[in-house]
Amino acid sequence: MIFAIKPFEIHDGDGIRTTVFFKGCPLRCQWCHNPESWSPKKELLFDAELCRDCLKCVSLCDAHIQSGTSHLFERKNCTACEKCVSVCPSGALEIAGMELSAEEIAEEALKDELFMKGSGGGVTFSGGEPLMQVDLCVDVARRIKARGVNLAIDTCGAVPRSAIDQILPFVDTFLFDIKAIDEQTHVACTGVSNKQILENLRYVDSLGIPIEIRYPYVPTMNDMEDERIACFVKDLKHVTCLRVLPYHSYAERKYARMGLPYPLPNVPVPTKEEISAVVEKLKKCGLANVSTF
Amino acid sequence: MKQPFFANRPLIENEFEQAIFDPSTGISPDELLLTLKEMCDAPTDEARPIVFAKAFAYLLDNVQLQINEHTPFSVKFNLGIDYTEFATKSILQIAVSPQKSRVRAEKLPQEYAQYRNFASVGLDWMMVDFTHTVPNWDYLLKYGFAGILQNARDSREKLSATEAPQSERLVFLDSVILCYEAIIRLLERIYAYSLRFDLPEFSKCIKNLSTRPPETLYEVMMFSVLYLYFEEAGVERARSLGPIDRLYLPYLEADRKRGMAEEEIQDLFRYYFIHFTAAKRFAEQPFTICGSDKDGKDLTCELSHMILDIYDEMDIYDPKIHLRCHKALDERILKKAARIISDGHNSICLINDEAVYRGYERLGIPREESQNYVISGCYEPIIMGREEAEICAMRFNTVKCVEFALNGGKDIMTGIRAGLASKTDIESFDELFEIFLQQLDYCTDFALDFIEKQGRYSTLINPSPIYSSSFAECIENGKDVHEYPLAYNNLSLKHHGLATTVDSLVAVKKFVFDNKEVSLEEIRQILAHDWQGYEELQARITSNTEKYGNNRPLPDQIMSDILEHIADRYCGKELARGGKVRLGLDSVYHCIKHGEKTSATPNGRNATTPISKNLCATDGMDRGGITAYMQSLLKIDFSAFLDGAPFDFMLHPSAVEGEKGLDDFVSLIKIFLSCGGFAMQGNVVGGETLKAAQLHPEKYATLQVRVCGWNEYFVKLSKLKQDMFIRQCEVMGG
Repeated sequence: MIFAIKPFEIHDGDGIRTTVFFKGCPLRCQWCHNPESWSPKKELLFDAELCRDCLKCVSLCDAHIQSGTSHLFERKNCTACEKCVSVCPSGALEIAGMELSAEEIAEEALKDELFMKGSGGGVTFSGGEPLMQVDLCVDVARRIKARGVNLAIDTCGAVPRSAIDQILPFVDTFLFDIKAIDEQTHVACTGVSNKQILENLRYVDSLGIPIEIRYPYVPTMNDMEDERIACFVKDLKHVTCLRVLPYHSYAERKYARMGLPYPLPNVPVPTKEEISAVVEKLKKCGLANVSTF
Repeated sequence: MKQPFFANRPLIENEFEQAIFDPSTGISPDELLLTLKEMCDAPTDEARPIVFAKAFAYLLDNVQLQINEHTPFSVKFNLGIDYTEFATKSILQIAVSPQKSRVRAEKLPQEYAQYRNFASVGLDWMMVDFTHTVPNWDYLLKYGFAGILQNARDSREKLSATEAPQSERLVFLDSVILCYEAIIRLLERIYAYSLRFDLPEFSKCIKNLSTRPPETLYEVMMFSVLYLYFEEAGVERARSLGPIDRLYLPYLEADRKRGMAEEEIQDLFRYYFIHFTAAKRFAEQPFTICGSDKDGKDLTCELSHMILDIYDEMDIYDPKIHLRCHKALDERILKKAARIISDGHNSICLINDEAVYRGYERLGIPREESQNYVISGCYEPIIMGREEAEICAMRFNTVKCVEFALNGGKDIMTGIRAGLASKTDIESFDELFEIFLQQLDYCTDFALDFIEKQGRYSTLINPSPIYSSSFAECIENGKDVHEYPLAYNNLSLKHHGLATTVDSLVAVKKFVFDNKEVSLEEIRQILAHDWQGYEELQARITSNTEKYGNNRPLPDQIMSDILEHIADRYCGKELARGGKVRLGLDSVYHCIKHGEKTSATPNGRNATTPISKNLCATDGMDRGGITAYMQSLLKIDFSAFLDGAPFDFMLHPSAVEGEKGLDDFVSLIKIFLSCGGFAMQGNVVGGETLKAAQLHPEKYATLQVRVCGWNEYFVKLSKLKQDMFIRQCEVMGG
């Protein structure tokens, strides 16, 4: 199950890339900008701002109810059957989740092969956590590598070692997230421990595969972790870059479309100056290649 | 100019809007116009070129002057042009303009009636294009004003030995002589007036230009500024300053040898550029830099770099730059240009030399000739000194031919049968497509015929002594440039609205013939009633993914079929008067103007709304992103569309941010060029910025967007146009 294939992604590895977003994630990061990636199942997104109350969907299932002249969406009754999406004239209803075969995913992901090869780019598996569906990942990866295209895996690392071993033969680069080194902070931010994550990161490093470390910098959440992250990363041998990913709040509307409260309504978006200061601080900790977007 | 530029900038960047002309130096535009109209309209036995030249001379002899002491390009003329409204007409243009309709009605009554029929239904737009001239700057700079006058006199003397006294050739040369004598008189008048001011360098420059060709960088720039005024005072519009890096480099080097300081040289360029920024001429003032020669050697020079650096530093959009790209182009130039564009300074258009060369080769013109092309206007190449191409002679709304094909040649909004009478009991998509092509041929054939016939009367409509005088061929042969004395006398046809056309045909194929969800007759009725009562079907058709610009096989194939048909039939077609047909695919604002007269279309579009722009996807339909759009576009054989086929991109600033973003942007450009793309231009702006500007225009007064081949202030666009940009931004990742 995936929820998107996005071309011309320049933030997910070298060159111009197409990113495949797999659905399902073991983490619940408070700042997550892809909440539709959490569940491994299809979900209906409803944008109340776009709904024109045409009521074309109300007769189709129990999730869509007429209230006076208005439309009400009862999420608890929704089975994500998708019938409503095709009759919605305004685009207010949308399904997150596509059941595509490995062949279909690879075909779509390779449509931009021209740009990948012309820019030193490739395909990136992201999510969600792609390695939660490692069999599908391997099947797609095999097809991508057969065409000689670069493959990067953007992983949170909270997966069994066996999943990493399965995908390893196909991976050119890992994009590996470190949300926090302090375990309590990590649990507070993501809902899970970071023990397995850091072990997997050391393991990947020991195999000599290039790794881009990604540090999502979220004020008031994990902004005290920078020095600890720097210390950890310094001990790794195959890190090509530590990239600071500044928190943004663009996903607020996505949460609304999923019927979820936005978890961080009061967290400020860091300024460019703040992020530059973090980058400089990390460099002073002895890391050679630190950057941001 | 010894005064540092930046101290003076605030005093000159709006100088055209703030100009106060000295009434003691001449007659006001209103009064001049009355006399000019009399001169141009009065019954006379004099040949039209002489009538025009006398009017031109009268204008120059009496036009009011202004001297601005804060710029080396000090002089301005009160030609009655409102520079604040992107207006283009001088008072002489206004005075001569009734002649066009008069000549069309008198000389081509039947064709003119049909032309008006076509225009009334929004099918096409045809003009005698005097507004995209590329003078031969090499010739102009070699001889200067006085030298050209002398050349015309010498040629007249030579030809008078064999020509009858009132022959067209001698009349043409007489008109040139009258105009240039007036130019010299005007220069002498400016010089005398300038002595009232403490501007010794300016006075000297004007004095020198009245007697000899330019010899210094300052003089060559002043010459160009003045020449542009003189074309503008007449009926033309010089739409390129030429390849100024190549043209100006020898003067720069000579100035350096004379001891001119680098900062002074750079300031001169700053003053020169800001002159055009201040003039705000419609669609901006272009120039060309870089490029390759016939063997692929990079022509980038030191001045190319300096020009880009100064342009970047000045944060301006006018003049605009046509950057000739090729595989050997200095990497630093391409990266510099990409960074300037990604910073939001979007008036740099990247042109692919290889695509242009192949386009000329298809017309039988070798690289030895085409290597000297510059871009005129938006994207249209002209071989400087060798070619005239009537760049915007026709713009043709292809969407109308879908409407005609569905309705037997009838226009729905007016009921006029403007197209070819064709059958309406259509049984298959192939049959419909065939009828569509027949409509396209019928209408384009007429347009081409009309333009060709109209061309016979170009010198009767608008003699062009100033523009013509830049060509040795015109002076030596005594021929106006519109009597076709140049090596290549081509003519351009532009078809537009193509994505809306393709999407409409795809929709009929899928929903009428393949899925049989609706009959052809029902579709006719639905479109005639602008989708009323059928909004659900409209929504489904609109959201269908089979739309042009998304790298989808079906729409891309239909696009290719249409373009191949147009190319096979018209590209390189020999004209009866000599020369060949060139084709283009850009629309400028006709996507809106023609849309207003086009009924609802099968792709879900409502009546009177815009049709697709240039080669862009239909508004908001390029959901596959920039790479899918580019791949759709790159399936086109651009060699058939020399007259402009741009790739308009819209990118969010985050897509090109930082070193990596810039490197990826450069890669994107290189891929486009290496795959044969023609021209690339676009906007790097966020949808959130545009929305904020729409809500709070006062805070975004300087925000500009690339409209077609030019920029406009976003907040000054109509809501309709603003919304088009916002939608494009949203679907293209902005």
